Amino acid sequence: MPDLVIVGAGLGGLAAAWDAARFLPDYKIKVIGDERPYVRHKLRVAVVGKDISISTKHIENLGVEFVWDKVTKIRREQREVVLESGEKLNYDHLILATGSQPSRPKSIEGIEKAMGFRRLEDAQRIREEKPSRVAIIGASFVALHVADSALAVGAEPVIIVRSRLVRKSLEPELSQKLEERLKELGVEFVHAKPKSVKDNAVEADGEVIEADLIVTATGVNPDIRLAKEAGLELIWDWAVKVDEQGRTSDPRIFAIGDVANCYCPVTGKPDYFGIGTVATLMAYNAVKAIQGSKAVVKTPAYIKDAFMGGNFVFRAGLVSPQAEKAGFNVERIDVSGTEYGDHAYIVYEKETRRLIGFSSVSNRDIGSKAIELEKAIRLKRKVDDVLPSDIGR
Amino acid sequence: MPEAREMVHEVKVTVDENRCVGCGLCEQVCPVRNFEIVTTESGKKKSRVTEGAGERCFCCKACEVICPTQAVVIYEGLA
Repeated sequence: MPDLVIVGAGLGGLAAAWDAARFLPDYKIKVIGDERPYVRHKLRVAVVGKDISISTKHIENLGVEFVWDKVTKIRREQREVVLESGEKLNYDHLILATGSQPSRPKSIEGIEKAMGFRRLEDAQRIREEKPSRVAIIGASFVALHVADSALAVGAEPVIIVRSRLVRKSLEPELSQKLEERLKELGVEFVHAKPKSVKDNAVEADGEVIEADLIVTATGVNPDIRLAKEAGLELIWDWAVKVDEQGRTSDPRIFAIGDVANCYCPVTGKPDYFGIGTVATLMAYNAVKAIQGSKAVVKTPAYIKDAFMGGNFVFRAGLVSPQAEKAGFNVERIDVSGTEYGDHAYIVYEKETRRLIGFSSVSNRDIGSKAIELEKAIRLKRKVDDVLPSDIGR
Repeated sequence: MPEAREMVHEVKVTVDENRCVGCGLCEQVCPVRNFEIVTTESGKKKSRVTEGAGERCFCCKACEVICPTQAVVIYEGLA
């Protein structure tokens, strides 16, 4: 009976385990996890004491074994992983789903003093420390989640933004709209470049922002240590390089989710989207590849997120600055006030009218409209196919 | 200083039965078994949302992405 070992019990690891349990019935499957699974996307409500843990019973019932330990080494020649407990597990196939850690930019002195917002203990810390003012470095979705959490515990959140809010997911005007809305809800913004983190303050462009809790939310660093030490090929020097099925430079080893590159649905080139959708679909592709299939579900650039007070952000494909960087000559259509949301833009290639991207900030959920656009982008449809009826075609 | 308050994160997993073609892809990708394929009285296969789906949902939206007819929509609200 061949062995499949899955390293990591986050979303990617669980998805791989669930897929493998059904599609690889001949395999003995083990998942090695160093923390019990929980719904990371709901970390904000763990701050107010809600239970966000998740059961693995439905996967275990199909014969998958969960081992709560930590992998310290991959020995590729012996085809085994070594656990912290000293136990060694053989594999015929290995799936790395080791995820990522909050990034700590070296350009910010003392950044190691800032906490991340990634694990249950981070949520617990906010709950227990009951800060009165929380400084958040970065303008990512995680920064917005931390601001939500701060408000929930009665603290004042101040977001230190170097460029603009969630810039890879929103057109510039929409970042501004979102910021205005969040200001009304009590979030303070400081537009400055953070220079250093002290015990109770952040210094940014000469301004001192005092806070009793400082959080870094500048993005993530893929957890590549095991892969790098095992000699697997990297991409950009910071993520595990994989093909469209998730296969690494070692054909017996796959890497999925935050630890690896994915492929941009617009350019078809390697890209990085540290989002759950990608992790789940990469898990599916990897297990199908181990099964012998050559089929690939293309990974999307797709985000739907909700913030307090009924604020929604939607993104599919590329925003115009990214598209221009990728070499597209693009134009935009303002579709604000339509079925695509209160403030929204569609981006398309000027010459071919091919749909490239969509982003929206809205006070209402636009239901299936965002996913319709995401599919239209992946299918390379024309902008004219998706324009609302009251916008000129 | 703002007052602490109750935070509610509601997730609603939905399948539009009129759009669903019963292909089973949502059931295949969802890591927390939020869908099951059932046969309706008219003999057609359809995806049905399982009980407690909102609590289990990772909000990864892989079901939305993989559904070929946009029958699956995840509604998420934070208040």
